[in-house]
Amino acid sequence: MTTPDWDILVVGAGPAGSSAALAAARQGAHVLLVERRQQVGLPVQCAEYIPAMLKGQLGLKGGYVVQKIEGMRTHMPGQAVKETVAPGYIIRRELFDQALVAAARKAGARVRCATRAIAMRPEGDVTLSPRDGRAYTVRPKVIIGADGPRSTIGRWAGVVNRHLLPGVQMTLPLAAPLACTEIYFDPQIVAGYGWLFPKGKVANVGLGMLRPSGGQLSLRKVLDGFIRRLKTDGKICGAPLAHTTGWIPAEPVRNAVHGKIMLAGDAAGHTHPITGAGIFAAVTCGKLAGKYAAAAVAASDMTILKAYDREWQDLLGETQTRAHCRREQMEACWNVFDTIIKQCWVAYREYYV
Amino acid sequence: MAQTDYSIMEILQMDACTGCGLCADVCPAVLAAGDGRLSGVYRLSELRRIMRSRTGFLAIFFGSQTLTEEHLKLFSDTVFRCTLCGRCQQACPSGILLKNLWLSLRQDMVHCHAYPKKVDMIAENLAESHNVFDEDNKERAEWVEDMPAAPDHGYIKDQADVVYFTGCVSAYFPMAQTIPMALVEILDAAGVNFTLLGEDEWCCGFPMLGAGLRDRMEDLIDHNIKAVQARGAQKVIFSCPSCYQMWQEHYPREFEIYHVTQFVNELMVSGKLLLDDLSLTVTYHDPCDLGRGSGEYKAPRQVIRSIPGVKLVELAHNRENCLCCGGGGNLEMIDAELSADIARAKIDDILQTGAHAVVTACQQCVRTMTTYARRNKVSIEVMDITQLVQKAIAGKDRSDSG
Repeated sequence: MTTPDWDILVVGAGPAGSSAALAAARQGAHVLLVERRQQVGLPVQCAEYIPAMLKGQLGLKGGYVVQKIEGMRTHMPGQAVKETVAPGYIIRRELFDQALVAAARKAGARVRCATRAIAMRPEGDVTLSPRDGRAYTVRPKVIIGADGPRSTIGRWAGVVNRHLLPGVQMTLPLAAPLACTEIYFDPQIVAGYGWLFPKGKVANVGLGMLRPSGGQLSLRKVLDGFIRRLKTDGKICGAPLAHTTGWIPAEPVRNAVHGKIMLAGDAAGHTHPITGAGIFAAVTCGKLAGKYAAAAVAASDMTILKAYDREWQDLLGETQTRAHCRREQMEACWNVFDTIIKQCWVAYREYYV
Repeated sequence: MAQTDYSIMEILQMDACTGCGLCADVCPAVLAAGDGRLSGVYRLSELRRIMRSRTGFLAIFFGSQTLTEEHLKLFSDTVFRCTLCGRCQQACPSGILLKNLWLSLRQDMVHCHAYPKKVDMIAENLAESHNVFDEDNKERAEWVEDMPAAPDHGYIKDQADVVYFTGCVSAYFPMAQTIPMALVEILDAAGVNFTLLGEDEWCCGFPMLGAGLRDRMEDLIDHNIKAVQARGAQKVIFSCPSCYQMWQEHYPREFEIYHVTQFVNELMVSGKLLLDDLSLTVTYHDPCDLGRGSGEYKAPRQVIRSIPGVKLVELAHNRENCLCCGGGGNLEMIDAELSADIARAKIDDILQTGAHAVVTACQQCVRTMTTYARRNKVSIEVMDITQLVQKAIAGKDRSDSG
């Protein structure tokens, strides 16, 4: 069996993985990007909002944008709706992911879909298994794991996400177009929130919350109740057109470099533990991981990888630490929902105190 | 009690369930019985509980006796009341490979001695007589004698290019025997040099898998491989999607294997099989093990569409969303009533198309749908794809087609 010498193996072609592959390939590294799905970006497991700033930064062709978003409206029981300025876009995530992969490919990265990374040997060889073919081995100098919240590469490195929240979402027809994302708090949505993100003529309606244990309403029942409420409010109508679920990491800050393994995006817990937002962080951290991986390969000095941890923690550490602290508070005190909730949501001044 | 019944992958996947319940929405057993305890999401949450009670701190506190035998028995009942149709797996947004997990779970239940008595019967039959019905295995090819114009060799040759592996149901069930009869006629018409294995054909092992007896399939597999090798054949064809899937997934890759829809499609494309006009409107039912199980949706449709005069109308639920007929996963043996309730939903779906006949590519689906239609006096013709093709064989004397 041949063992091609790739400089960098990136596992997972989501926003983090593609950004890493793109950044590393631009610096001349020999990059292999593998994705376990047959088609990049599908199925979509996302509410599909990105901040306006990210679109500007990426400079990709805008074909993935569905509509503009002006702000966020927070609905809290017994309170006036709170409006926050939050310019952004609702996107078609699969097209966004595909555009990023195309950019990485153009920069010289090799992309292989329907391929899983299934094992790593002690000496660092990685076994890749394509769906319709024989498994083969590669020997990368650096491995970037961007393979989602339940990351396989993270498991190899001995770091797994311990605080994952289930999210469920349905896509339904919108009664009338909306220009803001809508956020709903409700005691039933335990330590989480419901969302309605307008996407042209439809909306992504979903919720993320603590996994129910015995005696509590199942996630699905809570979602059904939430959808009924939105229908009564006249926001949405008709039957669901699509549905999806996924796990949302809500992790404290932790190191993402372990030997020659680097983690980025959901795999590294690069999501906001309160809002669950993760695309911006994934792209930012992915780029950094790619940059330092390429630098380490060029200099044949693996100690350079450590700079990735320093830089991403410098950028996101404070935000993530505060959010994680708020999340712990929220989970511990959900029974006194009214008193804590303003401290636990980014739209209120109390959150930042 | 064994965690070892599960692969590491499966243990990891147990935690991937978000509890969204989409599997329950599409589960034919849940829909027919109106019982959420038959759903994947319930089964997984119970399974996680069982796993925790066996290892980890719960086991230290309470000992491994936390689950009473009675509780396990109740749980086991829900585990075996499933057709293994795989629609839950297809619906799961977390990508959990539920069907394999259900097979491992059945094996676990057998190891815990919490399983239906019928399982013992399946195991005994297979060990003694090498077919699932405990018939004399020497009579496996007896259906050939019922054919009006069977050749002297009775389709059993010492050497051949192709082996046709009939499968137990088609070999022994009178209602299903018309399928191998149709297929051999097609193969003859196309000039294929093939043989049956006769008494050297043993059960493929699929019923063992479904019964939770995965560790007892080896003898069957070894025997069948040797039997095909002895005929010097390179190709094996199957009219049973479960046998086909079994060989795909659990047999060593020694031969080229084909489901009849694939093989017949190749015969038609290469011009070896000429067909006459049949004027008929049909719909097609994707057998679970051929469609969702083996990913073959194209070949049967190509075969049906290439028969002159045949019009294919799709079911409302087709391809990966096709509704199970109710006959899979040994369910018929374990809960015949539930099996029939599932068949009702299937037949309703079929009647809505307005087709004259429903064509499928599996003897078990033919049996389940025919039985339901006959018992409930529903007028719909059910046929296997081999029977449809047989009807159209060019220049054939139609009087003996039955």
